[in-house]
Amino acid sequence: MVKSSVKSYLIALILWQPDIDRVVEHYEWVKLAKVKWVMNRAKLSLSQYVKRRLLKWLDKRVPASQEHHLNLNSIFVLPSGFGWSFIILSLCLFLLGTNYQNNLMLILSYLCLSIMLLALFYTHQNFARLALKALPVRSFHCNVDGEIQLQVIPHVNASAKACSGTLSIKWLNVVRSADAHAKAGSHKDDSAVIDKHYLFSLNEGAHTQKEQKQTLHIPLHIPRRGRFALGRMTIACDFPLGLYKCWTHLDFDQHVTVYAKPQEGPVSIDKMAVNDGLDSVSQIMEPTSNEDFYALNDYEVGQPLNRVSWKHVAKNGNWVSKSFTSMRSESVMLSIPLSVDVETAISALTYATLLWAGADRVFGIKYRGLTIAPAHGAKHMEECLSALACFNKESSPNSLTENKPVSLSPRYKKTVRSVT
Amino acid sequence: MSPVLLHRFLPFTVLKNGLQQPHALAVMVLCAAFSFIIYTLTAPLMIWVLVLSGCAVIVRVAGLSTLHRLPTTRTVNLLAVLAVFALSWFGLSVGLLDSMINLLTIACALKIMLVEKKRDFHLLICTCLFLIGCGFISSLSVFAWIGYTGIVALLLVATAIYHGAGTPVTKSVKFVGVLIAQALPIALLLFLLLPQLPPLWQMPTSKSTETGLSDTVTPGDIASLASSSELAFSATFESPESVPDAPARYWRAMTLEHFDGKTWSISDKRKQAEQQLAFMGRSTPLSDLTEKTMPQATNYELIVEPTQQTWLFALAPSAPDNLKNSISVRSLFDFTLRANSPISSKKAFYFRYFPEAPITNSIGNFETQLNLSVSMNGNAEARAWGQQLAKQHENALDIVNAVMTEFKNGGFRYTLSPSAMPVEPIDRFLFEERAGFCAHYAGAMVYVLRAAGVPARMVTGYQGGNALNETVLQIRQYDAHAWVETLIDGKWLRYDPTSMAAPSRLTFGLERALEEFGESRQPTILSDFSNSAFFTTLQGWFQQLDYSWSKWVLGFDNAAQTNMLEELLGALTPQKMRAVFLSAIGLIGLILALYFLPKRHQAPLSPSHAILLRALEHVKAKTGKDRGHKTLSAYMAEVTPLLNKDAAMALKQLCEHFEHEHYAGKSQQVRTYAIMKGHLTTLKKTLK
Repeated sequence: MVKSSVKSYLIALILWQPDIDRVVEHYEWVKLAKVKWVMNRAKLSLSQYVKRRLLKWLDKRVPASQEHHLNLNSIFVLPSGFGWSFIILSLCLFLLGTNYQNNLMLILSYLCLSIMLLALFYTHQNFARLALKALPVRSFHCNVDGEIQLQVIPHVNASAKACSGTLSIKWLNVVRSADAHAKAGSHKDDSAVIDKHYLFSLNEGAHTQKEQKQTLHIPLHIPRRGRFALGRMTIACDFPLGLYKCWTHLDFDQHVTVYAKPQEGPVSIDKMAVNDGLDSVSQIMEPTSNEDFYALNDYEVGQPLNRVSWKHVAKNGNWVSKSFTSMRSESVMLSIPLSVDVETAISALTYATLLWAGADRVFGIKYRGLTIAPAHGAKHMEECLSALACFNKESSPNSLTENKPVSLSPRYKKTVRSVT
Repeated sequence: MSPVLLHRFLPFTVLKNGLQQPHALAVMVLCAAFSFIIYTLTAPLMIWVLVLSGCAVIVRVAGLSTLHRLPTTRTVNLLAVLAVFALSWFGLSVGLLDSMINLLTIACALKIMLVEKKRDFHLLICTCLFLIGCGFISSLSVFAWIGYTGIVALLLVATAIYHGAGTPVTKSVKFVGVLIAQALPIALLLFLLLPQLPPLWQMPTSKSTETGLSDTVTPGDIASLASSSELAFSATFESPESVPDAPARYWRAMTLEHFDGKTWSISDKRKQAEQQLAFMGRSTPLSDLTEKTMPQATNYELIVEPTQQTWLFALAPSAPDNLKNSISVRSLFDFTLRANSPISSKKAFYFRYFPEAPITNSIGNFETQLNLSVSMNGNAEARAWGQQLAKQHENALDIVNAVMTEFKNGGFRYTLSPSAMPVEPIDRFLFEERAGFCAHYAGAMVYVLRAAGVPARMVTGYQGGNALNETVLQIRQYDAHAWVETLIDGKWLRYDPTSMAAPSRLTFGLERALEEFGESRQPTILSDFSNSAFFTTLQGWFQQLDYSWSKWVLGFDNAAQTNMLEELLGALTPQKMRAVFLSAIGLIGLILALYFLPKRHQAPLSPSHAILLRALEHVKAKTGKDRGHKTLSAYMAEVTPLLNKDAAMALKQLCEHFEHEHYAGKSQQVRTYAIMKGHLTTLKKTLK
């Protein structure tokens, strides 16, 4: 009875006042009911709920930014395990000193407590000297780990000293909550990666802010394709005595495109020159086989030996390499039959893109709603890969492709779990 | 490099490689700190624990090099099991406290071989800190405190290196130094202002450190105490006039009323009677004394060294001032005093001395009966002498005087090392040896008096004391003494037979008394050395330091704290106490602000700039022209006509050098500085 009445009351409230948060602010008791209701509805565990609230609160307190200069607002401090045992030890010494009526023990106990107190300030002072700046994140394929690079930069409130000690960095959530929420199913895969700490000791040689220039490489593991806004990472430091742990949750406001896993598949090559609409389906050919000689360049170390023009080497000893190009007229469209499962198709197209772009051929992609005009070059490859990565994803606010992604189909929902 | 040389360098390279292991240096420092701790704890630790700890440290340090391997977890666990068995075997004999210290040390030693994770390291640091706390149970001097604080600093350095991520060691050491220097004022403030609590529960005491008198005396025991010159207690009087004269400095501790033919001890009957009386709620004569207004009462304070026992000593009769005492003291019916808990650290006790008050026979007939019982076990000759005396004299007083005269004129000798008298000790002492220490005299006299029908008992305590300054007496273990009390007309009167044989014992102390008989207390080479003036002054300083430390740091208790606050604030009210605590928090906040608020400090001037400014000041004083915001050259052009030629020249060169250094870089700074300094002196000279 009570439950249903609360529910109806809530529904009435929501109908009347669509902004549920404001309703909640006014009615504390409704809040509890709402929590239960939300949890039942969304089948979220309590910890996830707490985490979401935490992230929401953090977004207000430490807004996302490319560059963070740590200050009072963004730093959290609590005694570490060692710190707690140090406090307990001080209390034990106090008890011992009181029971033996021994003033020296009491002084030792007070000394430990004072050291604990001072360490609080020292730990905070040191950590507050840290300033980090994120470098743009490079795209990567979802089967390998990417990385985000953070640069230690001088703090704005330029105190003379630099932050020292060991930074322990860990992902709080790899991608922002909106994305994580949609793929609750794959959360288990992440948890192992999320709990991993990455340790960086800040360079010892630097005594002043200006000398300190260090780049921290933090591995990034996202097992799904798509475009993601990177989430918060927890950065902690216990310098100088390890009695306290200073930490912060920073969002560097970075976006990353995770390409699909490249995998060979039945890609059909559709020659643009043949404009009669005949789909000459053929297995993919080695793209190097039908490229044309384009120019001679000076050989550079690292280029493949089969490109070397041996004739020239034999004649006058000049090492020159041949470069090839495909004719613009021979540009192709890569496509894949509709019968193939979406994820497999995307993987196959990604593979094909890499192959064709590696050979510097002109190609385009046509798959379902996605059409990319033929072109060549590194930029084109990126464009293709991004478009493929974001295909059928809702979460691509600033997608690089012009094509609007198709809305989620029921079939896709099934495949997400099987593929990732 | 020749193979020989290589060989010679090998240990160094091994050590160097060892130090490159992660956290090796931190572990080494920790090992050093641990070694220092076990070195200071040699008294409570058993020998095998010491050996085990030493080996653990050696294994650990050797394990840092690549040549040696650390023992596996299995080996260490096996060791731990063995150690626990051994400890439970030996633990019964050493007592609870000592076995706990041993256990902690063993745990530390075993863990030190297996420091791998962060947690292990932290655990070790905490255990070592706790061991330092245990060290303070027995070592209470200033130097012990300084040493232990040094070890705390060492532990902190180890932690700082561990967490420093490659910060240079010098930086860590400096940081810890600053940290401790900053923490000490806060700790001191907490110590002064946090309330001093009474003991919350009874703690086990260490058996090995029981010192001083014991509650049984076999003649010869006190002679062994005489070899110790450790401090027993210090007495502080209110004024120089109230310090009692040397012969009256009898510090009464225990009455020994039971004699079994060899050993004097506190009578069991007495103990039972005391318990019954206390149960009945009868107040002791000393507690009645406090309420009476005795005109000549003297207040004094004793700072008692830890004895691990409950009995206390005081000028007889003294009543405890329990309002001030942090451990409350109760008085017994024989006018002796007992603390409510064993004295385990230096403690201050406050007493009121009534020189005029007699020691009365407080339990009536019981005491008379108790002190007339004569052990029929041997010593027949002495008994016969007693009975003979009883026949010769009618008065008890006469009997006592006769015995005293016999000691005075009978050719008795005072000696620290009398020959052993295992059978019939009193007969042998009185009629054969005629040489003994205070306990011999007192024992013999009590025995004879009892045989003569005069109630008498042996009293032990201390007699004497050296003046540290006008109001402070220091009493050492060698001042331990035994004397006699006889019950005459319902009052216990003090007689000291030793003073008959060796009169200087009372007035000049033990050493002088022994000297007269051709003996010395400590026959060492140091005795000559200790006579030198320098050594004596040094010793005096140390004694003074130790006394001040005892009084102001160790003896700082609830009473002292209240006194201090009352002196500062007047009568204490709860409101004032609240204000004190709030201001303490405020003060700590202020200290922290002082340490951590960002300071705006100016960059120091370069030395040449400082010289230039000084030179310009001189010029200004001479010419009266202010530089203001003028450039250096403009100002120079302005003042040059006003100066004499040499001064102008010096100033010009000074300015040139400054500009050269300032704009050209810092390659020749040292030389420029020296040259500029020379110019400055010439400028000064020429300006005069």
